[in-house]
Amino acid sequence: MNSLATKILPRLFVLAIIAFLLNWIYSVAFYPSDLKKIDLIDSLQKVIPRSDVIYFGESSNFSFVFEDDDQRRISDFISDYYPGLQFGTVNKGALHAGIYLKLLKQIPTEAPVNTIILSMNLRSFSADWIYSKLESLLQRDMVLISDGPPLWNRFRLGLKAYDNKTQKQRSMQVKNALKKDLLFLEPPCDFPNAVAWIENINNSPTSPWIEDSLAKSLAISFIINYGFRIDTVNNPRIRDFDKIIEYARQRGWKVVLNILPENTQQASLLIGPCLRKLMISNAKLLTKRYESQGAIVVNNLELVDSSHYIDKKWPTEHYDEYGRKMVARQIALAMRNIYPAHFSDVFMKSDFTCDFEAPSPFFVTLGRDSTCSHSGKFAEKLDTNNAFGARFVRHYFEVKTLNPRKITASGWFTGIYRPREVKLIISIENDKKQPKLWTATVSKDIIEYGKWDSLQVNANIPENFGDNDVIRIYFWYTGKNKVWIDDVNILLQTENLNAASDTILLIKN
Amino acid sequence: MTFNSLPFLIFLPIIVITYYLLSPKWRWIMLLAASYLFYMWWNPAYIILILVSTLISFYSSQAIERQTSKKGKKKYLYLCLIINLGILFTFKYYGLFSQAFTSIADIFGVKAQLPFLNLLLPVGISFYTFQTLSYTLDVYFGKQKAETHLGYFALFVTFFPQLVAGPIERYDRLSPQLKSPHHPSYENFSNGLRLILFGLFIKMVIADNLAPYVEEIYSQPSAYNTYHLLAGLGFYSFQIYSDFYGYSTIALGSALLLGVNLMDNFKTPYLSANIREFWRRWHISLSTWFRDYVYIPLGGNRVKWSRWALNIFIVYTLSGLWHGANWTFLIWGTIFGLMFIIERFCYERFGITSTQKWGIRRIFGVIITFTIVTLAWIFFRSSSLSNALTMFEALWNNTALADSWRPDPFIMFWLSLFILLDILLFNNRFDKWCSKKPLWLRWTIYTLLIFGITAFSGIDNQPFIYFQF
Repeated sequence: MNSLATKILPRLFVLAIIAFLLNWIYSVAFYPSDLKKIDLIDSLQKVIPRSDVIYFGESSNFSFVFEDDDQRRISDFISDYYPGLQFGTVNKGALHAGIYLKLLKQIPTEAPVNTIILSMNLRSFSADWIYSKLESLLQRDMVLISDGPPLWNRFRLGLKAYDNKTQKQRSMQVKNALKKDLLFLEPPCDFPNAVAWIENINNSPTSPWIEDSLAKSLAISFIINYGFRIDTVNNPRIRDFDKIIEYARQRGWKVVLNILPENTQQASLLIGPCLRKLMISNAKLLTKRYESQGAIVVNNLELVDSSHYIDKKWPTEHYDEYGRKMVARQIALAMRNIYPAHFSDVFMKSDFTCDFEAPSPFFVTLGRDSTCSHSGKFAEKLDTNNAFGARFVRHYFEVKTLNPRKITASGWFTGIYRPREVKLIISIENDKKQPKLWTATVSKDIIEYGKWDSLQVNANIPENFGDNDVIRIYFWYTGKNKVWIDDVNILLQTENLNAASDTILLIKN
Repeated sequence: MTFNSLPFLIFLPIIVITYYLLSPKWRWIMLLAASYLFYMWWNPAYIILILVSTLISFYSSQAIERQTSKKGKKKYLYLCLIINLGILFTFKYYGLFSQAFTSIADIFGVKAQLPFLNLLLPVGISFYTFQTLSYTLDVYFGKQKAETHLGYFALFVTFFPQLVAGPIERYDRLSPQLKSPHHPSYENFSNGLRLILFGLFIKMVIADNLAPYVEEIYSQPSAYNTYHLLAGLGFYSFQIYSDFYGYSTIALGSALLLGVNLMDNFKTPYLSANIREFWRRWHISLSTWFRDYVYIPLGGNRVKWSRWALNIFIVYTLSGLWHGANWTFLIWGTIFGLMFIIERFCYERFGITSTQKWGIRRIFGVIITFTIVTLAWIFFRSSSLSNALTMFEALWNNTALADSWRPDPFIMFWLSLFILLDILLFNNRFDKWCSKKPLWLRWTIYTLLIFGITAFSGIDNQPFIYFQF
């Protein structure tokens, strides 16, 4: 036995030295590139050095419909309200508080971050999300940033040494949890748990679902996703959010919790008032719990109307542009207390300028170019590939607080063009099929190339304009050469224009 | 529990230390308990199947031995075969049988369907069933005396290093080793650890890294051009080899730490110069099982040519079916049977044969054999016959322009290293080959393998391919 020990111990010592050296080589040469391969960590590392505020969210942040005029994320819309602050976004589908916590611990003390916004998805407290099949992948992504030497963490990744369960195991966990979680509901919904509730829908002879299997499966999905009462002792999300609040306190960060809107209207429609009441009660519990811990909790649970949910066949927090903008507005308003000096109410903004020197959240500019400019260094180049410039879109709900009645759009342009090839257009679309257009074009006969000319157009907003009706303004170049546009300005005014001057042509040399 | 998991890397040292600390007369109890724990880690319920198989084989073998008449012996042999193969059939082949039954009934215009059984295939069922069958058959043929100690027999059936994916051991080889009072030996430890290290390397670094590329190619073959598809097929050849070879090597190493020498399951099969040689080097424990318990009882090669060809055909078809209840495995097996027959025909008619001596002829034989084996793997890997045909069609058409299939250079480096080692290991085992190398080279290899395993192993969930069999 002694001779065995004398042979083994020196070799173990050599192995320890090798492990130390390999860890060093891995940390220096391979670890950074391995981190880059994990999109969540990569995006966090990119935003850390330049962000005052970081928004952490799941798919609600980035889901959109193609019909959306502005397909940006909720976090981008919030940043519009704070032009002086730098916002960073970290998002991925199925993200939850457990992952937020691990990511937050990656933010170094020297980082400029002082506020974190966390989406608080009610569904993420449900068993269906806690034991989701996506959880293994999320946990896998977190292994590399766990405590311990990088090489050990990488080895763990190879061994799949994390919460790595099969889909079947996860389904079993969900089933067990649905049975175990008690609901404490009053009649007529006094089912002990979600399983009994679902069985009632499935088996009741008087069930209205018997004829409509789609509605029935949607109703069951709603119960699986929202039919739980948050257990503040055992629910892992509660533990994680508690830890986050505590950790943020230690780091001196402000925490904004965004309780996302859920389709309570559809829940009521499908199942009756019981489920909605349960959802409201859970959201209230969260609000109370975390407000008492010092967080700003924005309860948006019933903020968005059912019509603004993208997915109709299953419950999600995916909203169209209106929904995302409304959520963003609530968060932005709640943040006024943290950054009163930086707040600029986008809904009260009446003057929009685009000089192309930096990206503007209000204009879509695809041809930013430094060949020539009216002011500064940049203008936008329009040609056959990019015929539309400085596109501005505003829905009425975003401006109605101002009660604007008149729009004035103006801008400068130069380049090679013929009469009527450069247009500045205001399109008022309260019926998207037949928009009403106001157009300013260059109609003069003699054009002096190389000079900057300007166009201006005014339009009236109709009296019957609705929330989702659109004001769309853009330059349009129909020629085959190139023109540049610069210093575009849009002004929303409350006074009415003379009806006769709806279409205005202005040329200034 | 799988070999490439953290629980196993904790479990194994605990078992090895406890094993040597215990008195030899109690070791079997500890090993048996450890083996059951090892199996139950995956699905506790299915331990019942192993227990049933163990009890039936144990008592029926004793009964066979007690019988004096051949008829009496046969009765108990059939009982044992029916129960063991019945369990295997129910869990593994019932689905295929039911599907075939419905199709045949359909041909005769009858709408008939067998009841649907939603059964999960128990890990390693084919391995331990074949291992217990070999024991019963040996007792029946009088080659082996029936075991009288149920505990030792149960340990023979469930010995954890080879329980779920072999090698399929014979009773006369394994049982004496399990009963022997081993002492801790430095040689066994160093060789065992070398094998585990090498096994982990080829499973975690080679097989697990190649798997996603293979998956990509097989999931939509028509999206890739012929060159990519050929590379992908080559990748699969190395994926399945390193996956199974890796598992077997870890099994050998783990058993060696306990003083048990398991049989080699692989001997550089891709350096075989013909199909016959390939099967002498690939999954050796299964090939020899079929040789001893199917091929030889059928008459082996001491029969007429046509009967011999039929025997070969039966053996390889059964070997294909052993792998899985799917027509693809059946075709995969028959391809090898046909190739075997063609090879012998060429030898007898035209004197064409390969040679053991390395030279142009052997290299040519190796290339041809590797190509045939690689193409046959298409049936093995495809989930259905139509998928396999889609792959052949895509190989032939070469119309796709996708160029997104670019393996990581580091993976190519590790694969090249593995191929080089495999060539160097020709007719040798890693532990023995390593022990003859100078100290500096040995430790350089260890360091490289450790670095590969810790820093470059595949991160996607890739269970051992042979677990499904």
